[in-house]
Amino acid sequence: MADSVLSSRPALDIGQSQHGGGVTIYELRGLGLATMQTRKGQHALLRDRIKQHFLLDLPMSPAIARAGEIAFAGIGPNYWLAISESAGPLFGMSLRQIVAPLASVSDQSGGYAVLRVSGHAIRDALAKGFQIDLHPRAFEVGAAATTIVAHIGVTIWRCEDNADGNACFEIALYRGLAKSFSSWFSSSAAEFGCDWQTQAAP
Amino acid sequence: MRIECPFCGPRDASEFAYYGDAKRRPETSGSDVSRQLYEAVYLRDNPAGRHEDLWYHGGGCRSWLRVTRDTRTHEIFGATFAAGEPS
Amino acid sequence: MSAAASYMKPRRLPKGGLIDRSRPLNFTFDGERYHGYAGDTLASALLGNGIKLVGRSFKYHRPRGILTAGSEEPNALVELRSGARREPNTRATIVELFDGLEAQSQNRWPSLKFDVGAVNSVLSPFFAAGFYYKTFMWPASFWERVYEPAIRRAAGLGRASPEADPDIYEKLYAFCDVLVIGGGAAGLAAALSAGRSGARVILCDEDYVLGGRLNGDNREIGGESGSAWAHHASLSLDALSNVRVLRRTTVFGVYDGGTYGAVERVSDHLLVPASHQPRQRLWKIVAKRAVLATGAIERHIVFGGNDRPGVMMASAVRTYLNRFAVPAGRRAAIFTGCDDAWATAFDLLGSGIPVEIIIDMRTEIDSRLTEKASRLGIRTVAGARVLTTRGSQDLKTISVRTADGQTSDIEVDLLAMSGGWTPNLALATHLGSRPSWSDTLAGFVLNTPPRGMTVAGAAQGSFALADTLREGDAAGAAAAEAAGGAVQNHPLPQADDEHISSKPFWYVAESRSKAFVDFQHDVTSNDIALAAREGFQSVELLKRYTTLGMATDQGKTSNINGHALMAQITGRRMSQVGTTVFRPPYTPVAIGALAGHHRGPAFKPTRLTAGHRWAEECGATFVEAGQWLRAQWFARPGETHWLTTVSREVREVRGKIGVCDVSTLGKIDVQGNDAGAFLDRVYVNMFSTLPIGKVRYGLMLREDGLVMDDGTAARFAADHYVVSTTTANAGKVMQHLEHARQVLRPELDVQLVSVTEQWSQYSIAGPHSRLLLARLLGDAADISDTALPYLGCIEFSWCNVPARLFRVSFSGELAYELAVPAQFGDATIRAMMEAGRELGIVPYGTEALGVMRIEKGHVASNELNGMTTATDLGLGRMMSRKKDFIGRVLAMRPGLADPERPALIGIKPAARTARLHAGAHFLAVGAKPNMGNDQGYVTSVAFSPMLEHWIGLGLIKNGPARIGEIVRAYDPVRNRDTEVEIVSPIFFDPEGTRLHG
Repeated sequence: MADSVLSSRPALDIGQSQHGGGVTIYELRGLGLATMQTRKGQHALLRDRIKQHFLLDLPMSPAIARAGEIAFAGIGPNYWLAISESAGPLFGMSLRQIVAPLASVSDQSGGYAVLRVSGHAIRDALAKGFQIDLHPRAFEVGAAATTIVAHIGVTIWRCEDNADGNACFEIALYRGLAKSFSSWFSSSAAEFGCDWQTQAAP
Repeated sequence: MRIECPFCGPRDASEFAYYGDAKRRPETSGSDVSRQLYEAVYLRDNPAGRHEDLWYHGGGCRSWLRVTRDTRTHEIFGATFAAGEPS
Repeated sequence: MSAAASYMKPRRLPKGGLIDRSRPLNFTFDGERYHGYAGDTLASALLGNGIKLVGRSFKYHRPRGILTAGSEEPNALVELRSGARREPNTRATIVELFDGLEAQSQNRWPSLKFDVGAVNSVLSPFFAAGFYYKTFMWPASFWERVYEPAIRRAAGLGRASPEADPDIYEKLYAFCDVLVIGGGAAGLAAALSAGRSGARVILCDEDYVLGGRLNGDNREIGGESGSAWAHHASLSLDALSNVRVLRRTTVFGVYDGGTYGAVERVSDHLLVPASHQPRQRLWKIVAKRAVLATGAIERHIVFGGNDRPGVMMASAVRTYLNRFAVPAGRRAAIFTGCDDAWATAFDLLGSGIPVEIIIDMRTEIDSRLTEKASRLGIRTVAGARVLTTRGSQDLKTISVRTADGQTSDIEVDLLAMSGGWTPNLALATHLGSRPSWSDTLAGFVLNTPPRGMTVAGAAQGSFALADTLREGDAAGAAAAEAAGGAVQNHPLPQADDEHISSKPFWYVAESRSKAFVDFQHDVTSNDIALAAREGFQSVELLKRYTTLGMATDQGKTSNINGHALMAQITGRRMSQVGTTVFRPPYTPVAIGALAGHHRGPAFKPTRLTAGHRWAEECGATFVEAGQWLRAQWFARPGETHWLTTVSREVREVRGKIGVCDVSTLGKIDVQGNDAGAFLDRVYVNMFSTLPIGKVRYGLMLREDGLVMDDGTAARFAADHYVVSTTTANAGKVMQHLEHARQVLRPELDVQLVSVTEQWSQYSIAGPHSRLLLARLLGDAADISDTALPYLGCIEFSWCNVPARLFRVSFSGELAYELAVPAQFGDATIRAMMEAGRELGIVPYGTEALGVMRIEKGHVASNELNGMTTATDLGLGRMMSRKKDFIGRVLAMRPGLADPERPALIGIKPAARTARLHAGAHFLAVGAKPNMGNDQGYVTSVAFSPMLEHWIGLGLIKNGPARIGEIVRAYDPVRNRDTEVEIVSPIFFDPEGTRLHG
């Protein structure tokens, strides 16, 4: 067993697509995820360290900042969800080494599922559960929010609009609740047509 | 009811858990501490008017907040971080 | 065709109205088939077929007809549809007619015309207000067996369907700058001015056609008819992308913080909802500003026989005539105290319906009205009143007393009455604003609306159309500006002239027959007088004593009349009497709409572990643990009883090896330079001194000194601990720890994050567990007894994946918990089962885990029930004397330190073959079963396969000092009384030798 490879599973099975094409959804796979929290009095140094290493400004409000394949989403005061598109389960360890001793880091690559949703009807579908204002002027590209949807805690952020001009969001939630969330999402998107996709392999 | 979380912005009350009076607990040393703590935990004032509440934004940023609320009208006058402003 | 059907000849004017004569619709009422048109309500279609009798009243079973044309209707409550979609108490006046609609009248047997319940009317003196409080008192024993079942059968009007609701419902959350409530003249004007400023506007109206009274009256705005103006306004609004118009949507509640609840009847007007469409949609709207343009509701007049079918509100008669082209009768009279109702006479005559007389209670009437009536040949009398009506199930004659005291009878089949208009302020009072009486308007108006809301139009007491348009326009503009919009000037539409003066009379004192105040609850003027005599004079007491205003119509047409009567009887002014306030919902809301998506399995979210799929494949039976599903046991083919399965699992774990998914237990990363000091504060025992690589069991107390949760904390670095909690308390403990961190000790450098979902965690227990792990992990980690002793922990890399191993044991066996990131949880459990196959590995569930922990006397949620202290649980010595911790001070209160408190012990049945049950209370042998002799209770029981009899844990006074004593486990609910022996709570392997194997 020791020299075997452990395979990883995504949080969701692909759902049943429905006609209409109003909304698309797929699960992002292979992400590295970690939470990071500032240690006392280290805030300025941490911002500098992150800026130096990742070339981005840590957001101080509910917002997501990206540079290349790394992003930091503000989910609370002095509290971020860090996302790496490629680093996988070792991301937490490497981030900890980069920021020690300025911040506490916990790996979360197994703890969260991240879903990418878009489509011309995506705001209408999300409005059936999100109690925050997702109007384009109220929730701009780069805005983020941690809230409750259908009794499930989620963090949502707005990505750049798709090439077809439709809004695009990513939603991070606990892995164990992904199935319940997708059931709510399917019901909400049904009237518009929901297209379940698989992410292209990295 | 809507509470303006200083980090997340205005949110529905369902994202929060209500704790009670934001009055600080007495120090747990000293001769009269048992009675003081008993009164702080069990005997609480119930003023009609502005009150400082402690709320936990469990459905959001997980901050504990001191919220000023009028107990007669539920009008919320503001909320600040119980731990103090983040540095 | 029955003889009685001769009066039911269809009535419909050949032209006019907002109905579509090219789309006829079929419907049934009480089994008979009728026709109506698209655009009809059920009420207009019934009247259009000449049907006047639509129901029987609640208490007296009086024949009732349609009174109004709106949602304020108290009488015409029908049972709509059949089968699973059957809904009772639906107001026929708001039901949009559709092809195939089925409706039944209610509260009558065997039929509407011949109702046996009408005998109640004869017995009515016994059913006066308050009779519920005075009867059914004696004998006491009759209550449960006789009175209550009888009352239940008589209660209510319609019947709900017992079948499951086949439709879906949904919720929608919306944000806007301006919410306009009501789409009549004022509301349309407000929505237009706010919408044109670019503000985000939502307009809600309960009707399927916007316009309110504009569609019921013959008015002109800017040269076009009122209904045409409304139609053009609604088209303009539909065309604005920043405006959302919600038709068929009732705003039912006003809540704090600018939040509004509304229900949209998406598919009520369809036989079946369209694919993927909900039946109804619940809107939760957050609006920066709101304009309340809900209009006014016409009051009736309280006089004898005012509830006879054929007596209707004057404005409703106009609505049926003008909007639906249905004359509500063949020969009409008007009874009024206000100018407004005279238009009913003119409209009826204009459509060819003879108007016998206009009876006005005022002595002085605007001469323009009397002259017009005279020109048209309508007889009018001033200072006159209707004393009573006659006709068995529909109006035949009215008895009129003129100013000179003479009484005469007049034959009419339609009496249109108007006692004036009441501003519809219900929504504005939901947050506690109380309306105040205005003598000039003879009505209640709102001086202090709720924050962020303005009232415009008839709801504000402005009854002239020109005023409502102007006020609506101004309110919409002001609201848009306050919300940050930029308002442009635009010309106001011009309204034609009208007469609006009115004088309230409330009731006719000389009436001898029953005069109704609240139609739906059958409250009469006599009941009001009775309430006054018995001392229930405040409007709040009047309401509860007589049930005035407590029916599904909330007294929309009747409250003010009732309050005015009380004022007159008690010699007070209306401003002194006041009025009651309303509470949400404004009109009934289906439970389905409130539930939305969350019903059945979706009632609450289901949380699944990474090992769930594997467990399903193994045939696990699952149990809910909070939101989680956990495998309870894994039955093998041939095992027919759960006890067999569970006992087998225990034997196999203790005999060889088993694996259990413990991922659901809470896991919290506690990091930072003060992590240890922080844990010292929250646990009763020391953790700052815990060496790196060690695990310690800890107990957390609440502030009041009672035990909150237990678990272990493992230390992986000087600044890194992992705290575990019980499954049920994970969220609560997280909140508690964040409170300690942010509120109690904000100066400490400590960071917390939940990692419950990050790690899949499996408990491997049994004599072969180390063997299995060696096979599974290979060189990845040294798990020898020296490298990883009991209560040790290590971190390592396994198959290129971070892993942790904890040597902890809930079962008392040699045991480990292996944690891997959850995306590898499925692969790990399968690898484990494969690696352990030759060793005889079995999966075990929460039941077997429970049996083993009881055998070892380990406390769990049953004992950590919020009522026990550390000392009660035998863990008092864990409480450190060297440091302060949460709960320390109040735990020392004499009442909590009392040795007489029930303390933890074990029990065995005195007769070893007997079965034990949790929840039983302890009594001394021979003691009477009462609270005074109650000594404690049984908390957990299990069948022990190791001891081969039932065992239990419990709490009993002076427990540890009573080992060997026999007491009774008494359970009167399930009729059991079992003798038990008090023993040590550690039943198996008391030396703990298996742990160190």
